[in-house]
Amino acid sequence: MAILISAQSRVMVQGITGKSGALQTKMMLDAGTHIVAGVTPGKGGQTVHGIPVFNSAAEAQAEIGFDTAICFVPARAAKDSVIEVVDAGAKLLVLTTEEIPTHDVAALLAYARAHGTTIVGPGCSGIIAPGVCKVGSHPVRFFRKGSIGVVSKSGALSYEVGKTLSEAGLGQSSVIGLGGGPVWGFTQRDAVEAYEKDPETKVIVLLGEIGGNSEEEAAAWIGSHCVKPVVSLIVGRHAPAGRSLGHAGAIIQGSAGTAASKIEALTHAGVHMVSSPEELVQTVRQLLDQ
Amino acid sequence: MNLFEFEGKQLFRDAGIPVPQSCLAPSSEALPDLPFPFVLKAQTMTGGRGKAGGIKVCQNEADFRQYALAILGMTIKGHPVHGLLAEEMVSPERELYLSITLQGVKAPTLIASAMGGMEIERVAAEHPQELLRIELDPFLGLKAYQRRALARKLKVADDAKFAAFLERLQKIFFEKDALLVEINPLGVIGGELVAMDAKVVLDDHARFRHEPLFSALEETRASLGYHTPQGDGTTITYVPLDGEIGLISDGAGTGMLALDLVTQAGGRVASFCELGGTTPAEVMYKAMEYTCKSQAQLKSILVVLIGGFNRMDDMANGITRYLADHPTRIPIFTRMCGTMEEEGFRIMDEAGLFTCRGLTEAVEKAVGAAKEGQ
Repeated sequence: MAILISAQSRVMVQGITGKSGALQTKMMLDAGTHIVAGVTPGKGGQTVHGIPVFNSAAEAQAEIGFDTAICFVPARAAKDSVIEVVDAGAKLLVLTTEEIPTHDVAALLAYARAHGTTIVGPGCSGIIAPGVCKVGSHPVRFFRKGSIGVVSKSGALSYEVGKTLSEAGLGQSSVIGLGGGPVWGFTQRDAVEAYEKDPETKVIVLLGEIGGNSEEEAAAWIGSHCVKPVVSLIVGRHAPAGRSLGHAGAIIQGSAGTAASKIEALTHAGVHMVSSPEELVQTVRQLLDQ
Repeated sequence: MNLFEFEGKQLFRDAGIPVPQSCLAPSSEALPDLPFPFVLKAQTMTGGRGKAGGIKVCQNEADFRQYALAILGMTIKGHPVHGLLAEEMVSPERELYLSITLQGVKAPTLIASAMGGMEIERVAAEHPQELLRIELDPFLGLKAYQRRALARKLKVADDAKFAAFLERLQKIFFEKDALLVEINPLGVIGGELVAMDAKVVLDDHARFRHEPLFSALEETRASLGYHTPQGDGTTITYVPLDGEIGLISDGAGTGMLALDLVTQAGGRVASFCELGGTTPAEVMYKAMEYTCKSQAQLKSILVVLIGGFNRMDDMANGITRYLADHPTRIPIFTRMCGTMEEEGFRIMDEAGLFTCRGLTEAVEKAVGAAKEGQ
C-alpha cells in the first residue's frame, strides 16, 4: 500500500500529446503505472506510447474508465482542464502545471473540494510509490521500496532526501512533492494523516520550508493524532527575510513564515528535528531500530 | 504588478467606484486644474507617505510650488517619488477599511473594519474584534448574508447603493485578476462611500488575459521614469546576499538546503541562484554570469544539481562554455547527479573542474576554499 495511488490506479494523462506529457507518460509506464487513457482536445483517435487519446475527459471516462489523472496542460488552460477532470469523476488529480493565475488556482481548488476530487499541486512533482508505480515526475532511480513515508513541498528536495535514504538502505513507502505554493490542494497535514493511516509506513519524514503556515498546521495535527514517529527537516533556515527563493510560497513576511516558528511548533508536537539529510538518515535509522 | 495610487484610482473610476476628483501634476511649474485647498500626494511604491512628509495640503499657489518641488525630490523608505497626485480635499464623517485579497490566504478574502485610516496590521494586533474576515466563493463572490454582516460591522446601511459598491469592487478584483484591492481609508461622506486611497496589485501570471492593460500601465510609468522590473525571460531566480560563496541550484528546495548547509559549515552565501527546474545549457550559462559578475567579494562557487530530468551534460556545457568565454580564478565546486551524469562528469573533468556526487562534500570544499581565499 502506498498513499493516494496503487498498482490498481487507472490513470488518465491530460495533455498527453504535449512534449512534457508524452515524455512523462513514457517514464510513468516504465515505472509500472497503469495508464489507461490520454486526453488532448482535437487529438482523439491518436495513440501515445500505445495509450489511446480522447478528445475529452468525459469520453475517456465513458470508454475506458479512470479514477486518477495527471495534468500537464499549460497554465492558461489549467482551470478549465481541472474542472473537466473533476466533472468526469476523477478521485485524484496531480496538477503539475506551474504559474497558474492565482484566481484560477483559488477557483479550481474550490471546485475540486466541492466535488470530492483531491488535488495534489499545483506546480508539483506528484507521487511515487517506489517499486509499484508513480503519478508524477519523480526519477525512479533515486528511490527504493520501504517503510518511510516522505512528504515535501519541493520536488528536488524530495529527490535529494529520497536518494540519501535509498543509499543508506532505507526505502520509502511513498514520496510526495506537493508544490512550491503559496496555495496547495493536498497539504502537509493531509499527507501526514495519510501516512499515519498507511499500514506500510513506519516513520514519517516531513520536509518543510520557510513561508506560510502549513508546517504549523501539520504540527497541530501531529501533536494531537500522530502515533508514528515523525522526523522533519525545514530548509531556508538561513534565508533572508522578504525575498522569495524560487518558490512563490517560500518567503518570510514580517514575523510570519519563519523557520523558527515552524521548528518550535513541530518540536512542541514531538517531532524529531534534524538539520541535514545525513542527520535525517541517522535519526530515521534509530527510530526504525527502536 | 503593484499599482501606484493614481493607477488604482483610475481602475476604480472606470468601474464606477466614487473617488475624489484628482489629476497628476507633472511638475511644480504646472498648477493643477483644481480649486484650493487641495492635497498633494507622493506617488511611490510604499506606504507611510503621510508620516514621511509625502502628503501636503496646499492653500495657495505658493504652497503648491514649495510642496510640489519638495515631494517630487523625495525618496520614501528607499522608494523614489515618481509622480504627484493633486486631489480635491474631502472631509469624511467616518473612515473605514475595506480590502479583498489573495495574498497570504488560501481563498479570496474580504477584510473590513470600521477603524479606517490606520494600518490594518495594527488593527489586527490591537483591536482584533474590530476586524471582519469573509472568505469569498471564487464563483459566487460575496453572498447576501455575508454582505449583511459586513454592513453591520461597518455600521452602514445595507442598501442597494452599498450592494452596488461591493459589486464594483469585486468586479475589479475578479475580472482584472487582482491579488489585492485595498481602500484605506474608505470615507463616508454624506452617506456616500468614497475611496480616498487605492492600493491594487495585479497578478503577473494572468498578464496574458490583460495584455492591453499591462502595456498601457507600463507606457504611462515609463513616461514617469518608473520602469517595471522585467524578468530576463528565463526561469532563473537570482537573489544577491552578502557573503563570499556564489550558490547555484536546479531546485528551490535543494537551493535552500544548500544555503543552510553552507551556513552551518561556517560559510556565507554571496548569492542565491535557482535555475527553475529542467533547463538548457544557456540558462546555466546565464546563472554563471549572474553569479560571477555581480560579486566583487566572491571567493568560491558552489553548484548543486539533482534535477530529475535536468541533463547533466547540458549543465556541464553551460558551466564550461561560460568559463571558456570568461576565464576566472574563482574555484568552482559542482555536485552532479541525474540524467546523463557520466557525460556531465566527463565534460567537467576535461575542463579541469571539481565535480562530485555528494552534497556535503561539495559544500565543505566550497566553504574551505572561501576561507582560504580570505
